[in-house]
Amino acid sequence: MKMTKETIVKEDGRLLTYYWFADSEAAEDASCEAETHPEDTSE
Amino acid sequence: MSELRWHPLLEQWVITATHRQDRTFFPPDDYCPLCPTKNGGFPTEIPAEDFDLVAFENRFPSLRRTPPDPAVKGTELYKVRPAAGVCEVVLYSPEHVGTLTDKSEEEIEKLIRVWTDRYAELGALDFVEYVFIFENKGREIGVTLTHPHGQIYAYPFIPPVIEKELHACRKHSEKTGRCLLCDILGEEMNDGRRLVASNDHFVAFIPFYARYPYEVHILPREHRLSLADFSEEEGRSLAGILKTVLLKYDNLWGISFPYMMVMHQKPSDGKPHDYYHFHIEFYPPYRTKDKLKYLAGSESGAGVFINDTLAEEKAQELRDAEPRT
Repeated sequence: MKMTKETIVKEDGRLLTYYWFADSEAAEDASCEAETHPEDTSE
Repeated sequence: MSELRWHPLLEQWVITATHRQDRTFFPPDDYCPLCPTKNGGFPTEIPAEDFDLVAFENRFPSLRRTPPDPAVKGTELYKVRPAAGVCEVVLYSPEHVGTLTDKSEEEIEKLIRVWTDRYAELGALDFVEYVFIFENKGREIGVTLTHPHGQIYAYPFIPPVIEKELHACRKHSEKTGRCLLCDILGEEMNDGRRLVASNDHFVAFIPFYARYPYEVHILPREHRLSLADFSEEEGRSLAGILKTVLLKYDNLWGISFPYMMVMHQKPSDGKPHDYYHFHIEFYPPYRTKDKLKYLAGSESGAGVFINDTLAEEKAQELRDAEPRT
């Protein structure tokens, strides 16, 4: 299970971290796809 | 106002946090501050809707990264220091309804990954000595927001209960060369009467010395110091045994069982603490289906717990609750 996270600073200065999970196979597929078609990831 | 005041008799810090008197108290379900902000709706704590889990700094913290100066001047006897630290809330999901018990093992495994990440990130802060992960569940425990969540306090000192356990473990290790909690686990497994559940990597039991009637402890079979020491397989196994214990609690009387769930693990003060051993403790407040266990005179004033039950009998009740073990 692959975990990704993103931390943002809220308006009042407090930190907030989002977490997302993808099963490893799906995450690997997505990463292969991105390597094969880099233009697909431009957004 | 917020500061740490030294208790010279008990030799421990007391946190004053007067602003917490104003914290949100049982808001209506459609004004939950922990739900993600809806398009066109009122702004909540969580700006985005698309996430699995989220951790954020409490709006009414007892400890802050940049704490204010203490409101009072300390003396040699009455020491005062700024309340440095971090208080976080961990949302178990964007969904407002439900409890940790309702989560699948896979979802609990994700939460364990988040706990592990927060333990590492907060523990790396130079003003943090102990990362305390816990959940208060139920009105009986004083929960004021029902959206399923837990909390993390990153303290600037090692809390007194942990300090006491560390002392006992260090003493036992110096005397015997063994880990005290490994020995406790061995004793519980040899006896067997207080076991509640087990799997490949973890054992749950009501310890011989339980202070609360349904006080379950979960220990890894192997000597592990913290969440950071677990393999992926062990993380999955921990999720499995948590799910089993939580289901047993809810199925015992057919209610959403309230509890305090606390995690004891290696401090983040940079010292090895090799003699310690990760464990989770549950303190449910009920002694029977309709009677609460109060921390009254003996417990609060003398530090002596009176348990009206036998751990052996309560463990049997939990073994018999679904899923039977």
